[in-house]
Amino acid sequence: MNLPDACAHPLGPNPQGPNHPGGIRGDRLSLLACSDAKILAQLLLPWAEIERTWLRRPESGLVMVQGRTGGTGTRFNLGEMSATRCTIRLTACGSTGVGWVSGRSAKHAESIALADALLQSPAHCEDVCTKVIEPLIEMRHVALEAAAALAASTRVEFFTMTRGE
Amino acid sequence: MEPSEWRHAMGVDLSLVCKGFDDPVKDSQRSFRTILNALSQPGTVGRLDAINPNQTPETWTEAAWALAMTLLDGDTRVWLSPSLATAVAHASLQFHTSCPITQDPNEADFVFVGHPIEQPGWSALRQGEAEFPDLSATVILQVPGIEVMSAVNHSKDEPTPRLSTWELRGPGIEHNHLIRLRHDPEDPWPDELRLALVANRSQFPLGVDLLMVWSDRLCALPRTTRVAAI
Repeated sequence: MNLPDACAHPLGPNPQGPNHPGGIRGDRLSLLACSDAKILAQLLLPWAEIERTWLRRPESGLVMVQGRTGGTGTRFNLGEMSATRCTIRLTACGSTGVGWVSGRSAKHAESIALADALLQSPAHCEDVCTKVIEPLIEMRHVALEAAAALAASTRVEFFTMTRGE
Repeated sequence: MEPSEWRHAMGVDLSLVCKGFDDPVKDSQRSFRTILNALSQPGTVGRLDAINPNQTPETWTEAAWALAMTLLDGDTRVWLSPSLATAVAHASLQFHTSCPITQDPNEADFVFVGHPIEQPGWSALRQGEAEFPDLSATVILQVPGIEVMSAVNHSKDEPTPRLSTWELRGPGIEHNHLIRLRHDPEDPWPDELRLALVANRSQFPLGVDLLMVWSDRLCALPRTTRVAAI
């Protein structure tokens, strides 16, 4: 699960170390899982033919989503959502990538797993960072800003002159 | 895909994991059918060809690996004999089946034994209960090899010193079957195994079921089968 040093990437601080599930790799998997499947496949086209084996073919199932009232209460089951996962191993460098995505898109899960495996391979890491990860970060920023702008246009300032106490 | 299973999977070192079935649904169904046939006709040899020889953990035969991929899931407790309990096997079993691996053979549902000399004591394995005889252990035993002979009117040809010949009778066998176990001349395990199976048969309906495997072959001796030496 070690990311090569060549992959230092501005994806946020990582206080728990590079191998922590929520660390850099987790951030990237999250970015990939939130990306558009078609755009991701497009960005990964240069690596579409790379030789790989399935450790786990894409399979769809249900995941129980849990919540806590106010973030601190007791845990409860919110409901189930469908998710798809798969695991790929690259034949040449032996690195293993996982792809988890909400919904039932096997193609999307495969793209994520491929990108994850490539990011762990020293030979491909930098290339994938610049050609896949950076455009995706850019797109995410644009989308977030657009959403923020849309929300800002309907913003209401509540301003209380005096309190009737 | 329970969340607990997900956390479980996060702990697996993926670089160790070796391949399971190519097509999990069809391959496990096909393998299950082979197991069913082998158990219903004891002493016949089934072929589990869904696994390539180079994709099993090092000390595992293709047949043993196919059985693991077919029979195990998150509810089956598994014990692995020392030669099978490699890091690769642990990681791969967790990844593919998420089965709990126990250190005590006597609480396991499936007992995987790499070689007969590693066999834990038969009488201490789970034998089932009078009301639920199915709550018993199944032993998957890797043996050097077995030859099956057509048996109905067996001419008593001399068994070579490297082979132990057993006669099988019981449900699923019309008259009798003869099987020959390959082993080294001084090995005591074939006789020990036979005596254990005789004792196992004597407490029917309780008892342990045995699946013997070598390369990609399978020969089953369920608890109903009576074994005698020739």
